[in-house]
Amino acid sequence: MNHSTPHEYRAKAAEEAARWLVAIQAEDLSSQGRADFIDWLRESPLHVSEMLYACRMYRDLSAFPKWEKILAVDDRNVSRIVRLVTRQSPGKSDYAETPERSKRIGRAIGLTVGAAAALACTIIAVAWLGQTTTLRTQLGERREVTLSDGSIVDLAPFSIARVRYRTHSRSVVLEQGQALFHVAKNPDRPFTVDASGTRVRAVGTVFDVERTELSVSVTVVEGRVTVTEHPDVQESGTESADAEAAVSLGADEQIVISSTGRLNAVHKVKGEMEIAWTAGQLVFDNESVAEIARRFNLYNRTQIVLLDKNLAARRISGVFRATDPDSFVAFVQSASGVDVERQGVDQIILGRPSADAEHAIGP
Amino acid sequence: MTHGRQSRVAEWFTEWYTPLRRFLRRRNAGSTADIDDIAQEVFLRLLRYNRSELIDFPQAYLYKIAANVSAEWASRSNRRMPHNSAWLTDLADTLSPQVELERDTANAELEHAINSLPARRREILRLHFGDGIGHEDIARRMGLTRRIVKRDLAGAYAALRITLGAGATDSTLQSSDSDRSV
Repeated sequence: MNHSTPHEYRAKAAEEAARWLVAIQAEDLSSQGRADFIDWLRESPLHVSEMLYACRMYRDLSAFPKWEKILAVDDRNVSRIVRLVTRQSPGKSDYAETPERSKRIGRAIGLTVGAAAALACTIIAVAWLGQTTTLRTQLGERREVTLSDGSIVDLAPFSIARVRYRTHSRSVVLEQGQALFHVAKNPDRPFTVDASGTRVRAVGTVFDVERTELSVSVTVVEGRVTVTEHPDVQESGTESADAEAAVSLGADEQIVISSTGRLNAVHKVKGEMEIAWTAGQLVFDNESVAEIARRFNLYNRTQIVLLDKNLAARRISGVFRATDPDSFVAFVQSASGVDVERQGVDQIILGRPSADAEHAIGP
Repeated sequence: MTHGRQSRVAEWFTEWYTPLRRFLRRRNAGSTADIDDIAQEVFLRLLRYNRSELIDFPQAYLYKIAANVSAEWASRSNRRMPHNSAWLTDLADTLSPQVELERDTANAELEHAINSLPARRREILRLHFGDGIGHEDIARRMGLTRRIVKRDLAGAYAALRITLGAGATDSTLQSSDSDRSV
């Protein structure tokens, strides 16, 4: 496995973080500079990490008690420098970094800084080859899991994902529900997500896959993925090369694949809105009340039951806290004047029981 | 008011990192999550915000989110180990000879690392952190432009980070935590 690449990334990130730290210290960031800083941070977790390391460095330097022991370069101190550096060759004017010294320091610092720095490499280097792990969430439960390569899966309620890592592949099968994938970059190990015959392939991006009975939708928040249809894949995560149709999806783009395997046109969305669920928010843009109720029912023990068919078909837009179905019910009630009835603590019934069978929406 | 600014970053860091460090110590340092893990979570949360919202005070958001993540982790670990009362850990944290030893070792390493920097960078660091002098005054005093002072400072930070963080030995590479790997 190649260790040099992560190290190089890290070194570059460290340099950039150092420059940002100085700019922040000098307090001379223009609004453009602040925007650039945010964009830089949101480019990679490595950038965030190095920024935090830079802050720690700053703290350590601020708390460093022995500045008088740091060699000065004033003329009057030259003799002192010479005395202290006698073991260096006389030709050297400066304290050029000797490899031995930095190596020794590196070893000695071991547990405190070194272990932390090594972590990223550990995650990248260690893979649990061949093993399949099942991630599962219950109703109302959300779960965030860091995989062995540093990739993160944010699992929506009532979802099942099976993860299998091999030497040259990282494969996830979404059996049910919805998940946001934050994929750690590794060109040698593509990351694929399969959901009922649809395969999403990524190298290092952030994207969301939702599987329902009727369709699979893929939304890209950052980077680029390829979406292909594999009607014959038995959801085993096995590689099959013959892709029927491949669609490339960029940031803020979404595609919906119907259960018949038809790829609908790619359309623009607000990626951040689409993944608002990971922050506990439900965002609806012209969705039916039935669909909204279904979502709330995934996130809560309290279930909304819709008895009014007209109401169920009505379309509304809005942002709600996922854990607060009452706000949604209040909203619907004020907008439509529908009857609201509570049964126990676990049920909110909207609409009047009519002659037809109840139009209950469950997960 | 360079000094005020200086201590702000430093104080902030200590504030959010202390609970995390306590948490790490209890779980055997080196085998678990650290800044990289915190960063992963902070990164994800940053993505969830509106860009336009973040732009006004980017560093404040970064600090706040990092502080939140760190606090959440620390409290999660507290629940797992109810017998470790907070004040006891605090006490242990400030008084234990192990901590003092660690601090001394860390400072000795830092001293080494600083002394291995090129002379001018070393001097700028000393003036800035030792004497609390701002970029502008350092530039004037040393007969440099402000840009060069800033460039040297950034260069010094990056070099120190790489020197001090180079301890990726085989043993640490192997100490993965089964907890967090799937």
